Amino acid sequence: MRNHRGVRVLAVAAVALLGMSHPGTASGEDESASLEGTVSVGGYGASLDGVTGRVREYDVDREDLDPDLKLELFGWNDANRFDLRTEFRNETELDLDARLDAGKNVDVKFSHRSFYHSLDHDLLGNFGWRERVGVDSLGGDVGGGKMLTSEDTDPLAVYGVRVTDTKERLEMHVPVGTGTTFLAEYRNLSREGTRQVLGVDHCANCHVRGQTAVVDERMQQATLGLSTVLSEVKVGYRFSVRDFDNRAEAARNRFMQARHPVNGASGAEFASRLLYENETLEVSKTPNNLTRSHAVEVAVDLSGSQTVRGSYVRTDAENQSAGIKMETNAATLAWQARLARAVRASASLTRRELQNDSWELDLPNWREGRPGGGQDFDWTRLSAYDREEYLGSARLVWASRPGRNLRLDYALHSTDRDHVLLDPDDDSATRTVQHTVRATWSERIAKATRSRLSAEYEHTSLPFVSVRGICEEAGSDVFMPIDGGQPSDWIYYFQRERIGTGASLPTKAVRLKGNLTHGFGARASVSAYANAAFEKNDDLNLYDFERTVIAPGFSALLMPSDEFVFATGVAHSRIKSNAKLCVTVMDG
Amino acid sequence: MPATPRKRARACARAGPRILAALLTLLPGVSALAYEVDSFEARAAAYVDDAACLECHEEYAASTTVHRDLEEFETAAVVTRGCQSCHGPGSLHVESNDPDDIRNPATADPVVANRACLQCHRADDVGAFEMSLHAAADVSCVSCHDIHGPQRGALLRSSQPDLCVSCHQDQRASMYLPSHHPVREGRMTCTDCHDPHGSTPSAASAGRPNDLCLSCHARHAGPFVFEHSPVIEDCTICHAPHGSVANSLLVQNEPFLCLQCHQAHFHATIPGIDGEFTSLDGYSAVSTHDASKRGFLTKCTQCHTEIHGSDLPSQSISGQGAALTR
Amino acid sequence: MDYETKATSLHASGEIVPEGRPWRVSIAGTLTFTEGSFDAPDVELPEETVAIADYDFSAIPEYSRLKYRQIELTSRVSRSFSRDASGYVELGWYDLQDDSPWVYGDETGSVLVTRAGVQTSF
Repeated sequence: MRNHRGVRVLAVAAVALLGMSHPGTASGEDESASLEGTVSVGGYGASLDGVTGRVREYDVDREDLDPDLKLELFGWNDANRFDLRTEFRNETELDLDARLDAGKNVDVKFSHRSFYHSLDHDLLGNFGWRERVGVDSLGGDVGGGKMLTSEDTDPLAVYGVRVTDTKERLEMHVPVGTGTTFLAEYRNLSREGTRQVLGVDHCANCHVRGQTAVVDERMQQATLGLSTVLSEVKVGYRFSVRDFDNRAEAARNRFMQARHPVNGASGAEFASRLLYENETLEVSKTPNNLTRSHAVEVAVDLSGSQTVRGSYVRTDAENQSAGIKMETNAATLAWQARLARAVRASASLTRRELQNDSWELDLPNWREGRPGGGQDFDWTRLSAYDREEYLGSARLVWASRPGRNLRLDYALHSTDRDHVLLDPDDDSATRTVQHTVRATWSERIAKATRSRLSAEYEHTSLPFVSVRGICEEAGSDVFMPIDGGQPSDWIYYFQRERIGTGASLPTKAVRLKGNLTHGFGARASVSAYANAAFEKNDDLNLYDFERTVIAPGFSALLMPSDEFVFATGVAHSRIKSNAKLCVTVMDG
Repeated sequence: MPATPRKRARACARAGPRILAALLTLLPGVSALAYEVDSFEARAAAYVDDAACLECHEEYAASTTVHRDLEEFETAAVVTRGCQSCHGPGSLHVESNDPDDIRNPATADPVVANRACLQCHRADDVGAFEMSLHAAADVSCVSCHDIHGPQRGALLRSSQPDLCVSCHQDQRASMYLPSHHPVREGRMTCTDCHDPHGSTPSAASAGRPNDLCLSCHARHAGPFVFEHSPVIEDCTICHAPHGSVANSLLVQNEPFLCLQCHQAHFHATIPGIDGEFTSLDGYSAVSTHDASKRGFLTKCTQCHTEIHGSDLPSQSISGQGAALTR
Repeated sequence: MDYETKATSLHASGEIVPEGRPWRVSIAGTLTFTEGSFDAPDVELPEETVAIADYDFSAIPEYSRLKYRQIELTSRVSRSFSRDASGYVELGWYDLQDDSPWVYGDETGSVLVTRAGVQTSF
């Protein structure tokens, strides 16, 4: 039984409070009430050519004539304000934003947005391979047992989902004291439509099958909060629950009978290497999940220019299909102050701890009953979530004169993961420590010229990497040849031990940003910017990872008269990074 | 009477910044710390009735701005002086009509302009604005908000994303990359992800990693039986949220993205026959010499479909079910 | 092997609001060129390789190379009939040229969008 109770309770509470916000609860009839608005009535048509799912990924385009309707209303009197904007084009595309500020103590916002999102349809055209094991006497290829085929069971399908996002927010100021606020929020985000699901068979009958699957997902999130200001102390509490519900039947894939990759025969040899074969099973199944969060926050205004804030957040996340539970506890202490008329400073420290359930996997023995088989592959999945983190920051902002700002930032991010190794040579290397310093200088260097420069240096010891993720070592332990002989004759059953560390994150990074804007009176301005980043990880054992980003841009605004405005610009970016390509000799 | 520990703590807290400021002023050139940020503040003026303001500034008489119409309980700072809540006492200006005789946040230094707003907006999420990146870049509240405007939306001077990309030009270009979030289409806004007033960590930001992304993409929240550790670490290891050339906001296209951390299957090294074939299961296809490379090194997620994590085991026992293919 | 992403975006927009005339015209356009690909990789091989194997990977960058050209042109003409009523016509042309199709096939396509209507304020 799905547990929607928390969401339902919060939703009911929110709706009940929304009811309280009816304008009638405000000041009643008022002769000064006013209403203004705009109504737009039109038509919408499109002409399509070729594939339109990419060029118009988030729009419904069809060659029918659709209405193009807009309505804006704004009403107010002494005590109440009402604002409504809505746009309707078809059954999929509807926008509505409404706000009611009733009786000065109730603020209600409502928004509804729905649109279409085109999803990809993989044609699977790159699959089609039969291994060549030699050449016959006539010079023709001799085919082997390994094959790769594909099948698109719904080749004409056009995939996409209707995304509907509805948000309600009620903020109620209690007209007692100077700042007690009740908050209720509700959000319903759904995706409905179809998508392509791919399923893959292993070994000699390696076969990728595409099929159409229904998408019917709903995420509900509700939040209740209360905050109050007691003299110089603000105290707040929020409870939030997020419920993700996958209501679609999971797609099912027919896994074919296992066949031997050399001679194509079916039978026990290959079945003994697989967890399942010759049966139809669910694939690409998105589990339901539930997240509950409690947050307590206390902010103390110490002297009118200095604030200390502390918060504690506890989050419980659960995969409701598998029953996996994860707990997060986080505490933050933050301080900010105006040290002098033009000097501001802040600092914060957060400690966060995550603990996720481990998971026992009881697998059949590999090649059970076969010669050389019977290996036990049972294992316990220890979660990569398990960790203790410290996030620290310090910031000093100095406005040394009007138009000039200097900002110095320091950030610390320390992550000690329980089960993720970051150095192949040190089994205790699980802690990443990242220090970042940044200086930002903003200056009005002339009356009409503004410049801004930012330079950042980041050093990371033991960044997140793929330890033993790439490149095999010759002759390493788990290299398990069968039948002996020369290496070129061996049959490899297990993937050999990898020795290389692969990475896409740097140990050292320098990032620079600059921009310059100049105004030519009130009629023209030009602006130019340049961003650059030089990142490197030279702690890897087989290669150095590098990434370079260069991104300049320019824009101009020209208003030769009150009747004409012209704007133009160009932006360019070039990002380059590297990797080491390694290929296994045999990976099962 | 001896000071209580609480009083001593308060006294220390008050003295600390002063001591630090005094030390800073000892540095060469730091005497500018005390520059006069608000020349109007020192002048002697008295509060007048709002009607005196509207006699000349009649264009604001019909304004529906909420800022002219606050009750005490609506603000922590009890600012209920109408126009003069932000512009300061107006008696001198009323007498002289001289613009220099009244504070004008629109033309004032951003530090001064922001202070007028933050005297009320300090108890909510905007309270940390002075420490934000925007404030440090001399972006003031009135740069984005039209304080006199009607109470519609967030009093923004123009709608998102136009308002944001008028400065953030590089992000404007990102929105036009082939793969992008639907910001320029108006289906979401910059502030769905970014807090333009933010700086110090908020209570919400201390939740689980990647919670910002998961607040919409909840189907990837798991936690799963079979994990993919970079998914847990940081979504931006693989995804560029502002836009990318590669599909699905990937920072690089597959297979390169995957090959940064993984190696290629050995099958990709086995040459293929040139010609048509039919598998033992009856599926026909055309093979070429490099067909295995094309099959195995075009798009890894054609087979490893559940790259964000899965509860269902993959097929191979030696892979321990963890290959994220199901 | 090196992966390189290149993107260049040009945009221009203009608006004409003739003084004393009942109409206004706006036009905007963005032209974007994007490309992403890696170069021919040198493969790191173990000492013992399989004799039958082909370790020439020079062709694989072509399988996943991406290259697009996008054009987005929008224009709007509106005319006031009175203080509270106006009409408008909008045209939008969205074009994507897929110069290096990937697994989704050639995704080249274009859409011409037309909107027209009347608007009244009260």
